[in-house]
Amino acid sequence: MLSDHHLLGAKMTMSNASVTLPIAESAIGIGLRSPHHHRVLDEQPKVGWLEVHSENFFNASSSQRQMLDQLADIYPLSFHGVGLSLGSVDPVNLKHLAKMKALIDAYKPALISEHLSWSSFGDRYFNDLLPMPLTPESLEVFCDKLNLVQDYLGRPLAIENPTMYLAFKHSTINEWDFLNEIVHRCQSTLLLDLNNIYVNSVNLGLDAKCYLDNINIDAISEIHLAGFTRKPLENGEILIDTHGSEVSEPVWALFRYLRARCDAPALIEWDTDIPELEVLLAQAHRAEREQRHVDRQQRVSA
Amino acid sequence: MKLNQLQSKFSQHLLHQPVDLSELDVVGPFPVEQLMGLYRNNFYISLSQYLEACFPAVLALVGEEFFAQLAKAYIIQSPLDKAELDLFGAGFPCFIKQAEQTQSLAYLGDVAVLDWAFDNAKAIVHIDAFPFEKLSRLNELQQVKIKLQLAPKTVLIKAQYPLLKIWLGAKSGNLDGVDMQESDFVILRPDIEQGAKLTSLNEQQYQFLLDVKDQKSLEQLAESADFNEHLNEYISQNVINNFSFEDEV
Repeated sequence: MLSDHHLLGAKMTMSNASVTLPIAESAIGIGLRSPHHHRVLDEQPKVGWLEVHSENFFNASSSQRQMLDQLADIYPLSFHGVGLSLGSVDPVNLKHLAKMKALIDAYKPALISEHLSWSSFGDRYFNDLLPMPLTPESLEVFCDKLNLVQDYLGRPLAIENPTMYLAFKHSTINEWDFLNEIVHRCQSTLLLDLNNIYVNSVNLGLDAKCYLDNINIDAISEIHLAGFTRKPLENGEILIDTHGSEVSEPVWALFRYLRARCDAPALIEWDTDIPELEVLLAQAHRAEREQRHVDRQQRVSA
Repeated sequence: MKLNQLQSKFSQHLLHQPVDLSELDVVGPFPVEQLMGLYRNNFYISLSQYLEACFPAVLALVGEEFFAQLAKAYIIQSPLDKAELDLFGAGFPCFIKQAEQTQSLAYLGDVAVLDWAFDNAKAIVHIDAFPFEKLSRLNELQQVKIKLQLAPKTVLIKAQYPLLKIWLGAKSGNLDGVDMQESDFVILRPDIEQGAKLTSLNEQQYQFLLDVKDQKSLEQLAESADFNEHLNEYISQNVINNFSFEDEV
């Protein structure tokens, strides 16, 4: 049951969102990483929005923040967090949360997001997005922390579906049901990473289309598109979610499948082996072409 | 298995502590040891890559393989205790100085100090000029009692080897002609345009700036040779850019 305080927080988002640059429906954005900071600022390429990793901008007196100040006047922004460790049994790190709130209050980004994962235990941090068992206990832990965070920040977060290289035998809930329940209990939204779904479908034998058929489409506020790496092992091969290559054809296919029913803004995400900006922009243009293709098909069928 | 137990065992495995992995009750395309190895590998790679980015000269001097060994030992000895990475490398120079495997590379720890200081100095976006107006409000007796301050993020190093030449040579990939018998006195100071400036000092200059750093009063500093020359030079360069006065401390 949501408290009045929490409902108030959700309402506050509506008013805050009007004072920042909004992200247009179906807009295609790119993840902004440090090798591209200056070029993006100087050349202002035509992309719908930018996403940055929140933790990289906590220091208010850094040169990074000066750059972000200027970009915020040009592009709609999304802040993607990796450090809240919402799935951990550790309590919420209030110092970290305070830094995040200061950043969010300073820019009022159009979107803020975090992950369905954990990255800390016993005050040790692992700089990784670690897998959760999908159980009623995990759901309760995650939702309690997410509600606390959202109340503190005064606005909802989008929660991203994880990449998992393993599953736990005692998991009793499908991932899409787990995410849908988070949306229901916390009034949050979803960040759907299609590469993560594809990687999990290959590694763990899940049905990606079944996932998209069952996830709460109306709750999706953002889509991630990224590439993976094939890692050969002595006894086979596994896909690693490196965000270090172009979006794969199966992921483009999932994007077309989802786009037919979902207008959420989409992002090209590239975090390792970062290429020239042109490569990233070409991927963003490909995403635009893909959604135009879906639009045409829908008009034909209509 | 309760979530607390699962995360405890998972964490222990990541930090190379002995764990019975079968208790995690994992399923996946490969045996549990391999799957958990992927997570442990990703964890070390991500932190190693961060350290590589912060310590490029150290990396260039020792190569990727040796650097990875050092980074792994550091990560195990000093686990990350914050969600943000920005200060995780602060202890790496000290770790290198004390590590058994680097004892034959006496200069490596100080090279790491310069790498870290250089990376930190880049974050400075404004350097105040010396507050002459504030100084003018003190009388002459008070003025000689002031303690000068070095600009934030300034680093001084005295080395028994040609530290700056090694650091620059490592970064440029050319260490030819470096005479390891030379000693060096190095200052690294933040610079808005270049991120940081590194300069070799003579012994007098070093001693003067070290005395400033050690908070000797202006009266005491005035006893050093070439006091006026040093004072004017370092104030004009914003190396000395503030002062404290005991009455206001």
